[in-house]
Amino acid sequence: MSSFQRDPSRSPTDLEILEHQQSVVEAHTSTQLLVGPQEPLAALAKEYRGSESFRAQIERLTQDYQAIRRCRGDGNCFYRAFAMGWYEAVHSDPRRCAQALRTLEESADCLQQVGFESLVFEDFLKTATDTLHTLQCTSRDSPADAEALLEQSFQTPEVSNSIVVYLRMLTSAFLRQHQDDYLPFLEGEPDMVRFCTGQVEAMGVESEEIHLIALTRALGVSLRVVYLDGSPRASESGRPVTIHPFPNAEECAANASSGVVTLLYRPGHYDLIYPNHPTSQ
Amino acid sequence: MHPAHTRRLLKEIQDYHNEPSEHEGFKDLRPRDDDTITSWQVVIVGPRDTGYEGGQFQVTIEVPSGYPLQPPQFRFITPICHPNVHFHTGEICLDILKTAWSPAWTLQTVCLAIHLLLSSPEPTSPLNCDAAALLRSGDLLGYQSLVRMYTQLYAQQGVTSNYQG
Repeated sequence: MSSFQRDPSRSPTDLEILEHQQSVVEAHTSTQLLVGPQEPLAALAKEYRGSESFRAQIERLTQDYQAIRRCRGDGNCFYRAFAMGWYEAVHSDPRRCAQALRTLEESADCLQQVGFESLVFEDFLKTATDTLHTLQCTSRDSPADAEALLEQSFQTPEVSNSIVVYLRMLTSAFLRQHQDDYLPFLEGEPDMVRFCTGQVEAMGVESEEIHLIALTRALGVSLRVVYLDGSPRASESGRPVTIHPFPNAEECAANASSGVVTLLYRPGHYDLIYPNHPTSQ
Repeated sequence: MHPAHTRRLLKEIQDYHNEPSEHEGFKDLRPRDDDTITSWQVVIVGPRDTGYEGGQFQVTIEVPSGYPLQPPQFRFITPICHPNVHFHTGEICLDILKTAWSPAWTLQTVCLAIHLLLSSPEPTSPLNCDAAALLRSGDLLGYQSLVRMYTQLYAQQGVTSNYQG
């Protein structure tokens, strides 16, 4: 909220409305963990006791998925859930982990090529690589300790938010670098730099499909998004739950050997969801 | 090991001194004294061909301990007539300093954004309703002369009367 005294005789400005909304969201979500513990799918079903179509979809999900992990709804949920899912998918596998670390380090080139100064991103990149590296080392000695450390890292605001910031900057850099390919998909915004500044780099601004495509392509990571939308058609028998592969079906399949991230999407929010057989996904 | 905000600010200082290129939008960006690295000041230079031309505007910068994850606070000390600056408190209404902040901004690039704001006001989110009303009603002549008057009153070189509201 603004600190200055607002003249009560005039209506609030767009910025004031937005600030107010953000302060409400913050007050509402700041008690929620940045990332929660794994919970069985039954916990999800409880939320939708009154809705038959949601319950039918969740019922269908239990055939292939065993657990969810909630992420704070602060506008950064996609980046945070994606990063944690990615680290979780690679840290115990030395080959995948080495590749992920290399990908992260090399991604700095993309930022530099579009003009990011290293002073604005190097600390965040270092946190991202240090965290993964520590996980890798811990994982060698004790997988259980590594799981606990992963959760703890993503619950620590400085660590968690630093990784989110880096992924936002990388998404922005990738979009700028390939702006000819992506500009046609920006509705009502003809300027890629302005889009990236206002809609990608800005902390707390939610992600759309174009962000998901850009980030998964920049990192070469397979992402599957399970859509839980409660659409009535979903309860028709035999209709599977909708799953969208990112960046697209071919690349998602091709990148799968480096680890697959699976997210649960409900309108306006992303959480992590865990398949029964992670290796067969 | 320095805390994150100190580490980042030290790099910004070094970067600013390594490239003392033409920052024609601002000058004298530096910590206010040697004791603290979190209180800064800068002089924003009035853009050419605007009512601010010839003006030198003192701005203070307070850097929170959460910087750069959290935005710095910029505030005009020299009174300035601008639709998006509060005339009495000097508060600046600029989305990147609030809801659209990103650690990709540095103190330097924010200074440039504020310099740009002087030539491209946003009358739809005013902190100075009189200036905004003139601009919105299309009275450019009235707006320009009001801006120029305040610039001459408070921000011309040699004038030291800072508004302390």
